Amino acid sequence: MRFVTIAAKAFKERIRNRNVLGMQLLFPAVFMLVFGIAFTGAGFDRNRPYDIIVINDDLGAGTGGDYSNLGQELETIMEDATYENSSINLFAIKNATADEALTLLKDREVVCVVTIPEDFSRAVRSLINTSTRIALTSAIGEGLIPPEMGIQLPQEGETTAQVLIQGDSSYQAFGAVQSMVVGIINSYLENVESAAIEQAMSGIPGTPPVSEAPEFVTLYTQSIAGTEESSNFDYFAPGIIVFGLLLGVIAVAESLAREVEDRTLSRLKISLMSSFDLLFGSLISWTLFAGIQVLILFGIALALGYNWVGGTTSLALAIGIGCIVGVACISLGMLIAAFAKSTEQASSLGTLIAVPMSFVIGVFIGFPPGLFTRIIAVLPWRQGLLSLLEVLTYGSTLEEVTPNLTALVIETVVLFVAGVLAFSRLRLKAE
Amino acid sequence: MSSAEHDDIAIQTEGLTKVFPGDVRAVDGLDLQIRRGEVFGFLGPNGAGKTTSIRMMTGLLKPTSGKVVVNGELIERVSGKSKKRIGVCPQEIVLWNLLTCTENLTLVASMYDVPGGDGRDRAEDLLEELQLTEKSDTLAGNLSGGMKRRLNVAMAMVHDPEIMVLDEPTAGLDPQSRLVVTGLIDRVKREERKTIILTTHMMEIADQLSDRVAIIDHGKLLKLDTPENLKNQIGAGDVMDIALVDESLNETALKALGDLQGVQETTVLRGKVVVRALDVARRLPEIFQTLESIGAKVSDVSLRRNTLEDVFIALTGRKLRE
Repeated sequence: MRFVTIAAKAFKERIRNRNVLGMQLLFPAVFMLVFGIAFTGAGFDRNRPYDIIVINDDLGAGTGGDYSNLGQELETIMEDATYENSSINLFAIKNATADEALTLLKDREVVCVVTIPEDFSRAVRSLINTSTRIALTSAIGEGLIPPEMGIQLPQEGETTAQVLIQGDSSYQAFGAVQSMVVGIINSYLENVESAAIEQAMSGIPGTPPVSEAPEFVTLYTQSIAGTEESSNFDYFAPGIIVFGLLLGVIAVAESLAREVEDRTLSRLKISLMSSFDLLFGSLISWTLFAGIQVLILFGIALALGYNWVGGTTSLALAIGIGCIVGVACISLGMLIAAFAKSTEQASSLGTLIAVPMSFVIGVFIGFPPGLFTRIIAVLPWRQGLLSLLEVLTYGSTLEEVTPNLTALVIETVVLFVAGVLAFSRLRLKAE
Repeated sequence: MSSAEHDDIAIQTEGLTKVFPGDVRAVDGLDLQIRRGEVFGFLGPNGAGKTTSIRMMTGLLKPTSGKVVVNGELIERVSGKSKKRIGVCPQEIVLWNLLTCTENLTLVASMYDVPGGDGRDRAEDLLEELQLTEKSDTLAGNLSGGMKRRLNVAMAMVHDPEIMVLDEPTAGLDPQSRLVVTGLIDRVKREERKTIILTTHMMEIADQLSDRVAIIDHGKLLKLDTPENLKNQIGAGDVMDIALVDESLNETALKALGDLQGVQETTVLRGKVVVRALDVARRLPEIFQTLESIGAKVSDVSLRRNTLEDVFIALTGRKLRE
């Protein structure tokens, strides 16, 4: 069992190398701390359109020339709404189905989802009719309206509707957007109501009375599941775990290149050790380290207020995902070590690849869905990031993250085979 | 070659050649037969091709042409069993700096499938013999240079190989550490009758430990014989190195001393007149008188026995360290 000895050796070397240990644990821990602090009280940019989704389920009301879809009217009003004394729109409205909207909301690709119910137009009409009736009767008196005045009192409506506003209540941008949406809808309803009353009261002396109609359209704000108590930090914490794992690329590349440079690899090559012993033994050790790293960084995140969703199952799943991401990092490290001419070059190359990689995969920056996100989906670290986010922050189950997990495993296997082949051919054969 | 002779050969090279890019011929057609149980000294200056030859003999470097046969197997096809029979101490210190001395040794033992307990016992014995017991739990990276070099030697022996390749095992060692290492090699030679290939540029070490010595330079084998035979081939007797105050008289002194009876050879090397003669100590008055007669004043004089370095000088006209 020579690979077990190699695994033990690699693990001892890893934990005794304070520089590497510091880089892999302290560096991401500091990032975790910075993000933890930064995203608990930071503000948001003003005067920019917020990405929202409006799902208009409104079936409209009336027939023929009387037909109107007030939900569409409301959507247009929201689309055209601008900041005060500015031409900048409040919202950039995106199209999506209800399911897509929820995913985009979870990924914070959009700030808010507004769902206009199918009875919206009928409920608004109920509001108009009831308000007008109340206004007329209170101004004149129902029994005192002579037929010759030609006033037909509208029937009181009974239809009610509820506009659903969904978002992550811990997301500061949502707080702002929610109040804007509520303001616009309430303003719309007031305008519609007062316009109707004004029209009905035309020709009748006196000031139109204040509406006393009951609420026909109510607004309901719903936080998406699993994030009610979360903060922006919850979105970044899984990314920082992936960032920590990515730093393992540097450690692995450096460690293997050092074996070459110090000629300890030559000592192993002339022994009975096979390529399998070296690479599998090292893999076991480094993967174990990756698992421990996930646990430690997760612990730090928890201490900083990270809201973990999903219980111990999600944690176990996250460790598993971390280990697979670790294997991807080891594979990349092998590839770098196969081509690096010195330890220093391996370290520099590892840094040059791993750090920008963390930005590219979206550890620190969220990317809107599009060509770029489709391209970076071929990177196992991106799939790892999405999987960890789903599992830890949104409490998704194994079944729910299976697509990401499958892509992660396939991409990791491809990278691992490439790493093993390159290192074996270039470093483990006689010179 | 008969079967018995074949069985007696531990390592054989035939036309072994290595040409590096830039047409640098590091080893040039080396034919060697290293017998079982002998200490085979590889003597030559730095850059002579010793280490390159060793790297090819252990399978770390592919030869440009020629072949290496270990225990009857071509090195590139050598079996695990034969691999276990070879231990290599490279010229560079090759240790895992973040492992302790014991961990370094047991790791290598494990790589040769030595059972855990045996590996630890063997490591303890070697550490004791190399006076490193107190450092057994110290990280290799924290050892002094001499200690690292000693541990480097132990790494080649921990799996108890039949053939030990020791490439400059005493390079850079202080006299005390050198004694410890040469003592170990000497004991292994006497008590265990292992085959030891010892490369060195230190003639005293090669002379002291080797059964046979191969002198190589510019990748070619110049001479191969026992140290005594090699020394006898260039003449018996002692050597006297004379430094004159006025070096311009060196050539005159050379001729005058060469004419003396019993003087076998005179030469000028690095500004000194070198005289080889039988019983040179008794001839000192005669030598000084001759020098005085040509007006040469002596600034320094030293007397020594004939060495392998003299053999090398006779063969190449250069000193080993030049």
